[in-house]
Amino acid sequence: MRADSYHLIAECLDGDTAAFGELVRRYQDRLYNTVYRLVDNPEDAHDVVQEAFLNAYQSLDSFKGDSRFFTWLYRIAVNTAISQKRKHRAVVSIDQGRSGEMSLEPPDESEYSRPGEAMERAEEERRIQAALNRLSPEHRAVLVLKDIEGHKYEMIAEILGVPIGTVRSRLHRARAELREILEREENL
Amino acid sequence: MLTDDLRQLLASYVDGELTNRQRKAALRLLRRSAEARALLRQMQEDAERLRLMPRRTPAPDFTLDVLHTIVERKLRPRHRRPARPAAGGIPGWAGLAAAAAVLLVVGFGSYLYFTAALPGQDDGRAGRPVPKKERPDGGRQVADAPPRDTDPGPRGGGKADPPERIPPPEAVASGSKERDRPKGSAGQPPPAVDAAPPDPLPKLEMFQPGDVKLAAIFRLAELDQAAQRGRLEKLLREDRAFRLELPCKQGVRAFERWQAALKAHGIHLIIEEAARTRMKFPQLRTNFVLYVEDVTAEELARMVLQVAEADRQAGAKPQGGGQFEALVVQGMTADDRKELSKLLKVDAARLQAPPGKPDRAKPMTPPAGRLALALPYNPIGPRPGSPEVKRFRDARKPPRPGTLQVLLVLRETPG
Repeated sequence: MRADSYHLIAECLDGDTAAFGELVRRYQDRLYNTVYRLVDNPEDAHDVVQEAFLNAYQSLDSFKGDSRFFTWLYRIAVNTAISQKRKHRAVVSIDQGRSGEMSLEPPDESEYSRPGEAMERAEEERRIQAALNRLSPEHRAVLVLKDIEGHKYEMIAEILGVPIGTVRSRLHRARAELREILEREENL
Repeated sequence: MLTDDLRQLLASYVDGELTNRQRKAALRLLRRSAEARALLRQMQEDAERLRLMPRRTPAPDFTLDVLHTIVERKLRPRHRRPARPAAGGIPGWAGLAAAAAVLLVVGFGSYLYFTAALPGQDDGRAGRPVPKKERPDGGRQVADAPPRDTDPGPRGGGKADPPERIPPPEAVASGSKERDRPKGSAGQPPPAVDAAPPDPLPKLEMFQPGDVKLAAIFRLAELDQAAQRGRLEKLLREDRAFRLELPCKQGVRAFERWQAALKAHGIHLIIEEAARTRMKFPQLRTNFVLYVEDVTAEELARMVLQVAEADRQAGAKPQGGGQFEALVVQGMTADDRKELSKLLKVDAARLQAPPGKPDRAKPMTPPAGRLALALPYNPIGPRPGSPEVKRFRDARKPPRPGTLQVLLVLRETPG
C-alpha cells in the first residue's frame, strides 16, 4: 500500500475527514465501475459504493494493514453489492433452472440506448450486461473482478473471502454459464 | 469431450494464472485437441468482450457527497485513536471534559469581561466572548490600548461620557491557562478538505487571542460615530502589522462581508480551495483567516467601516443577519507570524512588516494587482501543496513603505 495511504488513514483516525476525502477520490472510480457491473444501475451503484465508503470510514480502526487498503475497501463494496443483489434477485441460475423453469430479469433497455453512442457498442454492452445480470451474484462477482477489473486470482480470493481454488472453479462455471446465455440470446 | 478439469485448466490459461507445469499441460492439450482450441478461442473472445465494456464512473460530486453524508449522519471512525496516549490510566473522555470545562470558564470569563468593558449594553449582548489567555507580553507591538470611549448609551442617542480606560479583566476566571497550541496529527496544520468536516476543534485553534487588556476593542455598530472611527484610524497608524479578531456568528457569512470590502478596494481575494468548498456549507462551523499586505491604515479603516455598515444593514433585516459584535485590534505578534508562516509555507522572516513611514504629504495610490489570501484553519486547514497558497506566495511583491500587514481572524463563536 502506498505509504501515503497509511498516512491518510492515520489522519482519518485522528479526526481529519479531509484525508478520507482524498482516499475516496483515489478509489471511487474503480470501485464504482465494479459495483455498477454487479448491481446494474447507477443509483444502486452510487448507494452501494457510498455505503461501502461510509462503512470503511467507521471501520478504519479495524484495518490492520495486512492487506491493501483498496482490497479491504473492495471487499466491503463487493460484499455489499452481492448482498443487495441476493435480496433483489429475480434470476435463477442455469444450474438451478435445468428443470426448465427459469425466471429471467428483463434487461433495462433504456439504460443502454444512449443517444450519440455507437449503436453497436451500446448494443454489445446491453447484451453482455443482460447476460451478466442472469448469473448468480457470486458468479457475476468473479467474472467482473477477473475479466472486467483484471484482478489476479489471489486478490479476488481475498476480496471474496474464499480460497483460490474456489475462485478458479467459480470462474470456470461463470464463463460456461455466460457462454450459454450469450449463445441462447444470439440464436434468438 | 473435454472434462471439467481440462476446461478449468483452459480457463486459467486464458487468465494467465498457471504454474509452469500447468501451462505445459495446457499447451499439450491445445496441440492435440481441436475442441480445446475452439473452446479456448471462445473463452478468449468472451473475456475480451467483458474487458471492452465501457467503464462507468460516479458523478463528479461523489466525494463531496460522501463527506457530506459523514457530517450529516455524524459518523466517526469507531475506536478512534486518541490524539495523545492516555497517561496514568486517565480515560480519554476525561481530557475532553477537562478541555470543555476550560473553554467554558474562559468563555464565561470573556463574557463577563466584555459586559464590564462595554457599558450601555442593556440587552446583555456584549461583544461575543473572545477567548482569552494570558500570554507573556513579548513582542507586543501595540504599546498601550488607547483609552476607549464609553458607549454613549443605548443605540440612537444619549450623552457621551468622557472616555475611560478599559478596566483590567478582573472578571476573567483565575487560572485561565494558555490553551494548548494547536497541532495537526504531525505538528502541521490539518490538510484541507473538500467539504464537510466537523466543527472547529479546540486542539486546532490558531492565532490565539492575546491579552485582551492590551487590545483595542470596538463595537462595529459604533463605528458610524466619528469618535470611534477616529480612534480606529489613529490606532491603525500606530503600527505596521495588525491582527484583527472578529468573533462572528457564522464564519462563511462573515467571510463574505470581508470579501466584498476587499474587492471594493481593488484587492483580489484568493480563496483557497478548502475554504471555497467549506463556504458551500455555511451550516458547518469554520474559522477563517485572511491575510493581506500593502494596505494603508486609511484603506484598512475604510474596509472595516464598509464591513461594519454591511453588517449593520444585514442585522436590520427582519430575519437578522448581522455577524459581528466586536472588533478586537491587536498588534501582530511573532507567534502570529509563525503560525501564518506555517499556513503559507513561507519563512516567518519573509513575513515582516515593511519598513519606513508613509509620506503623509503624498497620498499613496493603490497599486494594481494586490492580492489577499483566505484560508480555513479550523477544523480544516489548507490543502497540502495548495495551488492558491502558492499563487499568493509567487505573486507577492515588496509592499510600499509604511503600509500594513493585516491578519484577519474570523472565529465562529458558539450560540
